[in-house]
Amino acid sequence: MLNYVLKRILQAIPVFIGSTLLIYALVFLMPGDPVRALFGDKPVSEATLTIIRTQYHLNEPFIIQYLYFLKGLFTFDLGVTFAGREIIDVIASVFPNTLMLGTLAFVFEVIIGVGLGIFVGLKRGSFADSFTMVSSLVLVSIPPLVLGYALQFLFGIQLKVLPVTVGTHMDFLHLLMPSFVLATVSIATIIRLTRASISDVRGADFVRTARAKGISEGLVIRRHIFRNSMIPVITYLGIDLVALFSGAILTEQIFNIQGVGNTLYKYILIGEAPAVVTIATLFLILYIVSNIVIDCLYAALDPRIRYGKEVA
Amino acid sequence: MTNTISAEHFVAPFNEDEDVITVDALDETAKSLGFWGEAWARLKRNPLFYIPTAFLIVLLVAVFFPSIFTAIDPTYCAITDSSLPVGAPGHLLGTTTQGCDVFSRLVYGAQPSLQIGIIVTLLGAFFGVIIGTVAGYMGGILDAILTRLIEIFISLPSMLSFIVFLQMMKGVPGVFKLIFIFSVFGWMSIARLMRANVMAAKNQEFVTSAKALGLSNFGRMFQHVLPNSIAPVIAVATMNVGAWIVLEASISYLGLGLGGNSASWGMDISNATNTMIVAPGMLFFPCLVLVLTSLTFILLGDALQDAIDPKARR
Repeated sequence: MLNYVLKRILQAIPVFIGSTLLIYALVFLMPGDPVRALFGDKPVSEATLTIIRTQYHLNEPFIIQYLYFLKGLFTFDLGVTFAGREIIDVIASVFPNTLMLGTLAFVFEVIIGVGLGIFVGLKRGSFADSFTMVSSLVLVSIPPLVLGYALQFLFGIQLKVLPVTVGTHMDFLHLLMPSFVLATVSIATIIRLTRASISDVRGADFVRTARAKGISEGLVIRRHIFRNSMIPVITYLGIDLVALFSGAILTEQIFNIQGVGNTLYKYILIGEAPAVVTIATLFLILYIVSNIVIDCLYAALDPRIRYGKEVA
Repeated sequence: MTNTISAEHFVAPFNEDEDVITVDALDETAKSLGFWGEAWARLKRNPLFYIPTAFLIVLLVAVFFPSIFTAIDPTYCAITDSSLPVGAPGHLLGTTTQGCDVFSRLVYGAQPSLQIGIIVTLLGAFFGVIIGTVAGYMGGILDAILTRLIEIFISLPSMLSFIVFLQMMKGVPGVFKLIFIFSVFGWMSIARLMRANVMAAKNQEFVTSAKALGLSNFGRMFQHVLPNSIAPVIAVATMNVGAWIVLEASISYLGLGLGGNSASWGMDISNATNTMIVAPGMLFFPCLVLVLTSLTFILLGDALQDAIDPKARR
């Protein structure tokens, strides 16, 4: 097991370097001169520009800039935006909003996705099964863009039962629509995954043995089928949770939520490179680390993974 | 001597004094269908294959011959005809706030959407299949490097990368820019799938026998392993077409896509959101077309999946 963990960590190092370097290159190669843009139309002396550029290491070669950035990251100094705001403050002010949205979306995913998946997995071949399978396809083909406006129009404007946009009201009622929209992206996948996993386990020998021993059907489902079929589902949900917490540009834009996604989008448009790179990298690290944790968890729960070569 | 041996099934007669009669002569000379033939036969039996196919044909006609559906130029907008309702004379689905014909914009919007969806999918599938096959078949250090490359691209937040890329390439015309950017990030899922399939296929007997017959490593990889691993990719790629079309609409909605006055479903949705309350129809129709198009490719991919791997469903 320890070998497996070490291997996963070693494998993550090139991925970390490669992806951060790529993000860094992408963002810093964006056109425009953000430092000059700070002053708008006002005249500014070359000396002032040079001082600011030195402050942000902008006159160094690209790779040195990247190393400065990594150094800042590892010494927990996230730096400041071009506008002079501490990046850590920016994150502290918008991340809670994304966290709330993501958590609520996650609840939807678990209740609807896993719940329906278990239900139809146990009733495979029934009408409810076919109906759920087809409607999950329909649901997944409605893009967040369309679903968002459809719900806004129906519940917000026509029926007037839910607030149309969120703005600064971060409460359950306001977040209901956006979190559902966010959740629909993965609900169909979760239903299918859960259903497949449940019906795989349902046909396993140990389930038949449990029934042969005379255990009640409810207990067979709870103890034998449910526990053994949840491993792949939990793995998927884990990775998805991180994705939810990384901010959703589109959903936050449609419902006007001041979260990570919206902030990143705004910063990209105005060329706030330091903030974009730092926030994106933080979530990248979160993604890579949680992937390792989930892989190791998976390997601990299912020893076949460790002894087999590598899961694709 | 002919080799047309026909196995016959015999049925015992009711009366003992009658001869046995043959039924259902088995023709052993009939050509076997093969993997793709059987998949096609299963596909033909699936009603859920015909519905999306019919809609896809309509879409393709709209892409190549948009003038069949409408005589109105989608970029011709007369402000005097602003915000006409559905069914207004000369404008089947009404007009936008700028006075453009909604129906005409829907028809002409099919072209960039399908161009982007199909070309990006083909490019992504091409690179994904090659990278996945090489990684899965060669193994060792090459596999380790390619797998890390896949992981690097997957771990990048995709929407963010698209937006940053689009900011960088502001001057390049819309469709090419989007095709390029989507393709850069569009190959990883296929590569992963292909790699797993190739790893499962490369140790099968037919590959070993090809080796025994003296076929080169390269020949085995592309003549035997690749064709035997590619089937699931086709279903996934079909579903991807819809996903890229939706992404194009989303990007255009954010104002970073096709731009200008070009007909694009995403742009139309974006423009219509401001007048959602007074003119919901303007928002409804592009949304409907986008959902139907996305559903078409998902249903088509699902039907292909069933045809290729019928066991997975049951």
